[in-house]
Amino acid sequence: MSQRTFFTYVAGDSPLVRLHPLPKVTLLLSVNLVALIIEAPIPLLLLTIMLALSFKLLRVPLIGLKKFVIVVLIASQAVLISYLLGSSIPGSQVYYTYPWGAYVSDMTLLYAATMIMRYTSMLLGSTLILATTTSRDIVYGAAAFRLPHTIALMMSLAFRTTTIFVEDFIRVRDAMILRGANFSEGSILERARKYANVFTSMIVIALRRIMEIAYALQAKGFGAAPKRTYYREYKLRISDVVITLTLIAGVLCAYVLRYYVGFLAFPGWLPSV
Amino acid sequence: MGEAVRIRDLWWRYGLGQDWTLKGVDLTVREGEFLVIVGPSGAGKSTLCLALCGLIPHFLRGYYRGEVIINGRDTRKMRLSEITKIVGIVFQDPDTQFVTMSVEDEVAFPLENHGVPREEMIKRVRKAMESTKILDLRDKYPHELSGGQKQRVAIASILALEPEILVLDEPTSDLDPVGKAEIFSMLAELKKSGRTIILVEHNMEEAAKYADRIVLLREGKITVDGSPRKVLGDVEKIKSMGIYPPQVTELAHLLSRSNGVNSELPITLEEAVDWLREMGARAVKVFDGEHYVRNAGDPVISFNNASFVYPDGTLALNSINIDFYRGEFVAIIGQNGSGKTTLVKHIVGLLKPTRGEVRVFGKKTTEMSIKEIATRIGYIYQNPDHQLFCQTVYEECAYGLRMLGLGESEIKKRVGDILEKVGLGGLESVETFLLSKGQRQRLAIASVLVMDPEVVIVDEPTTGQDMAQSLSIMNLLKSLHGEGRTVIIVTHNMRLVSEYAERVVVMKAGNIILDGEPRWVFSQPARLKEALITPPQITQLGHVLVGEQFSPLTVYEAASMIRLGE
Repeated sequence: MSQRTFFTYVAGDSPLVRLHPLPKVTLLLSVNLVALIIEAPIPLLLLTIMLALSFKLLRVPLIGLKKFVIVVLIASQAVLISYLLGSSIPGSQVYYTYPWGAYVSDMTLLYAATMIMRYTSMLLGSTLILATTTSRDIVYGAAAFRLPHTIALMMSLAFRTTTIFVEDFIRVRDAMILRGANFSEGSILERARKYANVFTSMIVIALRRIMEIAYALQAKGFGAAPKRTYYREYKLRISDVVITLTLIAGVLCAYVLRYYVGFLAFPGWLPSV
Repeated sequence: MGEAVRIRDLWWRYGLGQDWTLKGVDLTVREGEFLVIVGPSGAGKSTLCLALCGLIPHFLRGYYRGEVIINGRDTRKMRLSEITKIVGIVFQDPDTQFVTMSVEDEVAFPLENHGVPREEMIKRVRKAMESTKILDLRDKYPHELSGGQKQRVAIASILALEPEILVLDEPTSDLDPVGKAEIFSMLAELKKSGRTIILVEHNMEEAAKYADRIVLLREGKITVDGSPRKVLGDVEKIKSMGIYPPQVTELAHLLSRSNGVNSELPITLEEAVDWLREMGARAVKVFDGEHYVRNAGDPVISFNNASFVYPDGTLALNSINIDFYRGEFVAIIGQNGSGKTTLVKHIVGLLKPTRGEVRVFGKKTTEMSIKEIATRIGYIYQNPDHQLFCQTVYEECAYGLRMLGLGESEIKKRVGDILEKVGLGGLESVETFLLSKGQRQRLAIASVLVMDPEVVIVDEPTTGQDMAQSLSIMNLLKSLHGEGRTVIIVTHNMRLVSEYAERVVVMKAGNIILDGEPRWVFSQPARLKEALITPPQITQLGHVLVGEQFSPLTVYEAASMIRLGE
């Protein structure tokens, strides 16, 4: 039987769905941390490919990625433009120098491509989180980490309400389109103004929703008992502990390699520490 | 029976509010009583519910006078967590009450909060799911259940705490007729178990079957308090207070008055059948049951074998073939998730068919921009908040006209005219979020009508509105229809359908299963049952009394077709 996650449905026998919340949350956090640490193009490319393949291995429907393709494209364009216009990365060949001192070298292009890979891999990692995690994982995973339940619930609600707010956003935007607004026309300022209208409405809707959620939480006795109990009982197996420790070790290893050995740093750059 | 609740001279004003919302409410509810609270919008019903469950004054800030006594204790002197164990509350919108992602987790959530031991929790969660008949839904994602199922989950999660008092704030307002009936029959079962039930409800036909007592709240005060028979039997009075009485009660009232009968009025369908038989009622007119389909000129909207599949694989429209003609007033009905909204989104171009075609004014929607369609077809959402995005009432109405490129003097004239028409004249400079829900709904309608569309589509025009507001909106739509415009409404309210629509389209699982004039559609209860629709109460009465060839659509029509005596 398939299981509903924050984002989609995943086959109930997917390896990630069956994992204990502790290693699951650790895995998903470590993927993003490693993507932040690595700055070398080849390892980042490998990580990106590995994450893309894991969609198949973990049996996460690729439809989940579709919604993010446009985000990846916009973010990639923004990254590329910012590095092309405003960076001064030394390279073996300089293609263009701007009056304000910035220049485009072969390393600028390589670094921009590396950053695009970093954001893509982080986006893939985050999509995997949304596509394979339930509010139960967040709550029980946080409890395993001994985090306060309030924080766990807020994290879980933030993920869940994100999808609701996205739906609200689409409805308001559609209402504007139905009254003649065209979001793909006009200058950047005009488009920004149209989106500002959407957000005006979104703020009102969000405030109402937040109030209703707060009522529901209070009515359900949130925070009533000094010590909360848990309905589900998860047994931490040795394999879960091994996976968690391996993942933590992996993140630490990446950190040491990047900042102390310089192995995962961008080529030609000195380690930051 | 002892007292479950006693409210003494309760006054409440919200922190930022100018006026008192509750103005000296006095109310006593006995243990095991099923109390229904009715009243027009803005009467203070929801506020009273918040006071009953302790959110006022423990969570909301404002000015409080008087007292609310629960089981002999003043709620101000109790902790909120103590109150929530005794009083459970279910709100109108179940979606915003869910905090987890499975039905079973949702039911367990309040118990976890109260620190109930796991073994005890397992027993209570099962019991709550059994009593609300959701055991087979335990692994489902709450947000994807039907409206009725969602509310049952919301109720189960409160019942798990085993509260003695259950407060429900309009839990059926978004539900289809069968969903409503499910909730009421479940509440009746809960009453049998001895629970005190306090229900805010607009639907007097269902309330009359189950309530022990009805109180009418108006402008923050209780103005009527009595048995359903006493309250609903005073038809003129409750109508003057903005409440729809059951249709059968209204019919008996009209017949009694015209025939000089002075007897106790029936308040349920079964009672009405007995009452009419006792009075020697006979039908003086029946219908031939002829199937009517309007076919006047070229259609303005055509679906030709149109199918639509959502990205997750859900078939929402299945080879639909239907035409809508100029000047029609059409109601689209069907249970939640039957494809009604998907259908109308195809008309305005928000969705394009994955197979087949949809034509608007003869042109394929795939070849038109949404803007082009929007100049001729207006679409009004169910929730006005999704449609209002400007700061002031004037700006909201002017937005679409500016997009059309009209001059400021023309805009000013059109906005002024439309605001007068919807009863919002003089509020041009008011900020939209300061309007009441009824006013926001009318503004949403005005913001679309100002663009002078030939076709107006309204999704659930009267959800959450009281009788006066509903009538005001429906009469506005009727006047637009009178001007020759095509009006299409999507609704669960069968009373409105029978009173206003001239054609009814019934949908089930992406298919159109019935299409014709209301009388023809409502005279087929077996087919309607497939779509989980029940005809209006007055039509059901005709069916029971005479048969399906006797399908009155309104109370006045029924009164003109029935004679007492002999």
